[in-house]
Amino acid sequence: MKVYEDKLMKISDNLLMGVNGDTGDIAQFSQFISKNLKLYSVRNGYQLDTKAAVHFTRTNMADILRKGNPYVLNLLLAGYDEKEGGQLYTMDFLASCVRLPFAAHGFGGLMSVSILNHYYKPNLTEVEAYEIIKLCVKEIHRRLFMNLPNFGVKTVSKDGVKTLPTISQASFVGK
Amino acid sequence: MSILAYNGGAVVAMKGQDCVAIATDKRYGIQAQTVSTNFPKVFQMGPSLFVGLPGLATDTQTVFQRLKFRMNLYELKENRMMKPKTFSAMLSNLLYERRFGPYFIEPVIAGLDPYTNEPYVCNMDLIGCPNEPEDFVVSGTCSEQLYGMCEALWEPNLKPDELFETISQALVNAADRDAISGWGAVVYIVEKDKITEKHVKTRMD
Repeated sequence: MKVYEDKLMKISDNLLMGVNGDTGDIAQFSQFISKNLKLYSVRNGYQLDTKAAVHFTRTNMADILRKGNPYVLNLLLAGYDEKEGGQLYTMDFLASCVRLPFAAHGFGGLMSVSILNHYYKPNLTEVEAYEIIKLCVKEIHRRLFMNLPNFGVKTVSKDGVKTLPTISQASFVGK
Repeated sequence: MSILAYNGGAVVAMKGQDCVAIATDKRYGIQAQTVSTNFPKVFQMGPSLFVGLPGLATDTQTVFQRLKFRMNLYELKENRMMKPKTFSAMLSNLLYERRFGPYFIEPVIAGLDPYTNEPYVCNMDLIGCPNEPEDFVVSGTCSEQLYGMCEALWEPNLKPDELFETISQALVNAADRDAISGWGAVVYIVEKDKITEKHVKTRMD
């Protein structure tokens, strides 16, 4: 239907949420989380750090899970704060949440984790990380039965959220 | 496929002479795929009280949060430390409250009584039926293997170092024979005046 949907939502100044699932659930849940985090910062004068925001997200998802109409969403949460630096959390649709150095969801993710496992190092620069993601996308383009032409990329750091160039079919011309 | 075997995991606890030991594997997976190799299922609830919550990972995290809440409230109201037996009763109640929509975990409790230092182990099924034996308790996807290993290796009145060896060998060899448990293990030895945490290597596959 659409090849330019932005699934990397900015939840707060230093928190990004990548969401995979039903469109309605994506919109509803990500807005619910981001508005509540904003409310907290307005009420208390400071923002929740990444760990607390992720905990809030998980608890809400877990509560709704057993209420008969759960959100069926797989999430990747990326945040930056002064105390812990950059952090990545993965949450599946059952609200099990783990902190990981690299993560992926979906069929494309099954292929990508092995590539990430091989190339990941703890002190990668932004450029190196982008290249590794490009390798994953290259493999997805070649091997996955679904056509997923474009991949949006964003980073979150102490300077906030930044959008990097989209990885598309054209990124691999001439390789 | 069983819901209790969706994420995989294993926990075992043993009694020794004036000490208890509890051990967990570190794998977090979604059916056949391993997602994380640092997801221990044992949590420290008090100075000498540990609880292991193997089963569905989301319920591991939820029940830990709910348990921590109830325990904190108890300790604030009563102004004293919770005994392992009481903790066991509280967890049993928490699970039975959800009798017809249960949490998919089969917990294991290990601790020393804070006042008499008597060792205590307990395990439960997913709706809170407690079992308080004199020797060891096991839980998780490789519980059958764990029963075999523990029955063979355990003997009464083991000293802390011997207990560490026994529980480590039991967990490692049982988890090595289960595809969805393993990827490393954490062992806690709880004595009167100290707690030792050791990370043990299993087959990393």
